[in-house]
Amino acid sequence: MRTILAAILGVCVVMVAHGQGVDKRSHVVPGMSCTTCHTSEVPTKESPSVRSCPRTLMATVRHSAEEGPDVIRMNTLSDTASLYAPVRFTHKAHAEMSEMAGGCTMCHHYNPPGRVLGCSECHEVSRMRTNLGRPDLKGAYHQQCLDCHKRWSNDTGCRSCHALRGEAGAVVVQEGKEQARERRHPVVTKPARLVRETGYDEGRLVTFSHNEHVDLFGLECADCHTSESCIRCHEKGKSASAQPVAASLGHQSCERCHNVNEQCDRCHGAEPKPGFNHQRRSGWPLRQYHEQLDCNRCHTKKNVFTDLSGSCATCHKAWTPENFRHAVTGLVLDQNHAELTCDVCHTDDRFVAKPSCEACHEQYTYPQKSPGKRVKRLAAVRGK
Amino acid sequence: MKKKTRRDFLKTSALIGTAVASSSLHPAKAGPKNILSPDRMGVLVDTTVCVGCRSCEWACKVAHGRSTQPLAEYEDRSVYQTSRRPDHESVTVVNEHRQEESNGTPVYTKVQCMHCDHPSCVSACIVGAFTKEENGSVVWDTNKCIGCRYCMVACPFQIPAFEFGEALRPDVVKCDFCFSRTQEGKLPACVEMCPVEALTYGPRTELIKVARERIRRAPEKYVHHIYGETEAGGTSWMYLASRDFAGLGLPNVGTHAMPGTSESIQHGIFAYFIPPVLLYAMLGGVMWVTRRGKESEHEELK
Ligand code: SF4
Ligand code: SF4
Repeated sequence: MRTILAAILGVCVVMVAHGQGVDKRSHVVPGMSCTTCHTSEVPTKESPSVRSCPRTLMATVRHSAEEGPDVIRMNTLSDTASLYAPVRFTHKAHAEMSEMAGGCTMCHHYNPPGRVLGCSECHEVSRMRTNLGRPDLKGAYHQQCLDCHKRWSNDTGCRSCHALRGEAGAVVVQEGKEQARERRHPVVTKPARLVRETGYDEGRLVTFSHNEHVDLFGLECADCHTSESCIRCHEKGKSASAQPVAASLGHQSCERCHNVNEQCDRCHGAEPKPGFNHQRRSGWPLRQYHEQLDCNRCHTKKNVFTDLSGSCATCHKAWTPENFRHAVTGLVLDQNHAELTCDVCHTDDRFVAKPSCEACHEQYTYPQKSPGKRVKRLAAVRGK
Repeated sequence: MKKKTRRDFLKTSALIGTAVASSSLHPAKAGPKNILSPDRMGVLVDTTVCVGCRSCEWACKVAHGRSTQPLAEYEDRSVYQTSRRPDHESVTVVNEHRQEESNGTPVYTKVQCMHCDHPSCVSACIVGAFTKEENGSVVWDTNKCIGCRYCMVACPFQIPAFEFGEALRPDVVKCDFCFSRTQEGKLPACVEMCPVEALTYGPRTELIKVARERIRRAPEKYVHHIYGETEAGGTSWMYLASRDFAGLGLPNVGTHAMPGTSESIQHGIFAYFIPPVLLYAMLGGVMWVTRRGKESEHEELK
């Protein structure tokens, strides 16, 4: 009974501390202070003290196109007296297009972390309003759509999105619901490794492993392709051209993660560079179990890969010489050796170098002499 | 025999008129209604947002009971082949300004009366047909107008238009900032209609803040100037743009309010009810005085 009460109390404390009813896990963004969006350090549901939009700093929402709705019928402002019928917006197709540009934030700007908000949750329906800094809903819809559409095709004609209401013989460009649901942006092909010629004499060739950045390091398109509009890869006539995106960006797309003023030879060289190798880059070889892990199991900060010391305790916080099961390494220590501290044999604290027997046995070397019995490595060890 | 022209008539009557006026002129007390309220309203036109749909033109005509083709026909973009000025049929027009490099997106500029803070038309009108209202609108009263068209000459933006086609009762026509609609608590028709909210209606002081904030947030997108904040002494309608305003049909009119030279004489007329018979004479005098003023300015420059 007491434990139940304690649990309930605990939950309440968490809720009070982090805004009642707000799902803390999805709403709190690592590395971002509450005061980015709230004026108070401890916002609550009753008094969220949200800064008025448009805010200067914003949180980014990252969701995949798959998570959003296929089609939205935008009928909040539906007015039967209007000439134009509500738009059937192919949300998924547009979400897919945005993946190569700014992502969801291109439209869902200033969206707090967590749930994606629709336009009408911030933009007022009435144009007669006091907050003039934020367009009304009709203006917001049209500004968002037309800002891209006018660059895309120079076509801002109402009928490229709206069907005319009840006028027989009018050209209705709007698709049926099912057709619209099927609309997809064709999958964008990702390059594997790109080698570019540059004007830098000490290393003319730059090698960029696009596949590793995406598949290995887990970067999303919008992490680098920040301001790609449709017309960057499409000709105005809507035919996709083969022009590689971001070709002209130079250092700009790299310097968000890399210090481009130092270590030029990481990318530049006379020859193309080989692919990523953990040992070469960090001096810490990935073997056995670590090799199978995704980068973010250890490098938990998004897109930051440099902050680990290489000591076991960085991740395996609960390990002590007493509770460490040496068998996971494929060697069960015999009784004499099991009582020693790690550093008697492992002379480097990263456990990378060959163990040394010198401290006790002058003539012995590992692995000719073994301090225990070899066993099959444990198949699955959940490191703790 | 050569017919006596209107100008000849004015010239002679001007001499009489000025003589009468100067004999009875005391410091002016009353003038036309020309209110500069701190709460006056305005419109911020963001030309980076406007898409040139011309719905505002349509809404304006409907709101003012003028005949117009159906809205759907306004999608025809061929009108943009010529640059238009507001006239007696359309008191607001939208023009397209293409960029030199043909692939750039064009900029659209809506043109109408700027509703100046210190309107030249109000000062120039000798019968007080123009008034600057408390809410910022500069409106015009058909019953007072005598058709002298002095307002057309005075306006730095060349806005007032004249119904030359109307033989019997030609009117001066210009945007009235939807005075009757705003009195009823409605938005100006164009502002209400604009699909993208390129037009924002609100207190002028508030709009300047909004405009500054837009520039601050997207400094690369805007020319760092609010056209109309100081132009011609400040106007109720103000513009933001991505390129030089002069290239978008918004003339460089300087920051000085235009009215001045002829104001006191005209206000004198109203203060002392000079007989209408002498009005034409007065006008002639005004023109003569102004012209002479300009000539002597030129002489000084030489
Ligand atoms: S723009 Fe011309 S017509 Fe309009 S208020 Fe100013 S001076 Fe008068
Ligand atoms: S209605 Fe708005 S977008 Fe359309 S032309 Fe007028 S100002 Fe521009």
